Amino acid sequence: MITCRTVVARLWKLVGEAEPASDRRSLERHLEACPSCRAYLDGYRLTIHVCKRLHCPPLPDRLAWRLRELLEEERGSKKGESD
Amino acid sequence: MTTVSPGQVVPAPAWQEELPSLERIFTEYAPRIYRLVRLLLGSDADAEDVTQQVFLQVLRKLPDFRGESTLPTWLNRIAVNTALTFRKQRGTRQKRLSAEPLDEFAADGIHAAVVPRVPGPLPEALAHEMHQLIEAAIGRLPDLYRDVFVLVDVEEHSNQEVADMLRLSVAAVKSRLHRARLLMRKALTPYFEETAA
Repeated sequence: MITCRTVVARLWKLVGEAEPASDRRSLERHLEACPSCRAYLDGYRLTIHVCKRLHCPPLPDRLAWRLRELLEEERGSKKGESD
Repeated sequence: MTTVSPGQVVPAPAWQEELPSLERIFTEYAPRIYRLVRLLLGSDADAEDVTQQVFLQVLRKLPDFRGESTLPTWLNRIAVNTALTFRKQRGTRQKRLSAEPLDEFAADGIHAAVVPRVPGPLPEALAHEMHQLIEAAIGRLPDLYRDVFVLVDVEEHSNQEVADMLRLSVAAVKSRLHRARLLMRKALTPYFEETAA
């Protein structure tokens, strides 16, 4: 029987991009019998879930202004080229 | 090979026709680029400077964009390169979370303490406090893990894309990502417990 430490070290095989079923089987067997590892996995999944929902803060005014200026300069130089 | 006769108008490739205007690239993607850079650097002021540098590069390189990756991936690649170069030049280190996330086990490999149960699904709109906690925990990750974590778990790039961006093997991405997730779980668990209470 694999230990909790081994299960936690391999939890990544149970989330995200598909891993071979054979790699997951021993982990799933352990999880069925171990409430602590199940709780750990729930916390691991919840962590991933909440981080994917991290908000996108609005641009600070100063940066928005600097980018706007950059865009205007680019437009000006393009216009200059075409004139 | 297709030959073009003199005077014939060559249609723009499909990817070029679908390219949004410069104005749209700036307005749509600047907040995301700023968030990415801010998370990688952990500083608002540095993130502002680097975001500006990123868009300077975008202006310079956009004519060479060939649609080999999606526009957001291409933009993020420029942002990552610029941010990592900046960080390397700055060369400072902030206080980081412990780099050993597997230290919570007894000698026999069993959990050393009771693992608290986490709540069911959290509300769709995360509390402001939660956003702050996530950002702070990401900021304390060792650089090695943070880059991969931000690109996969916040920006939602595939392991392969991140491996290409950071010039790592996919196995290295998976390993660093897992360690980062363990550290993040450890940092966020107290909040989850509070939410469950």
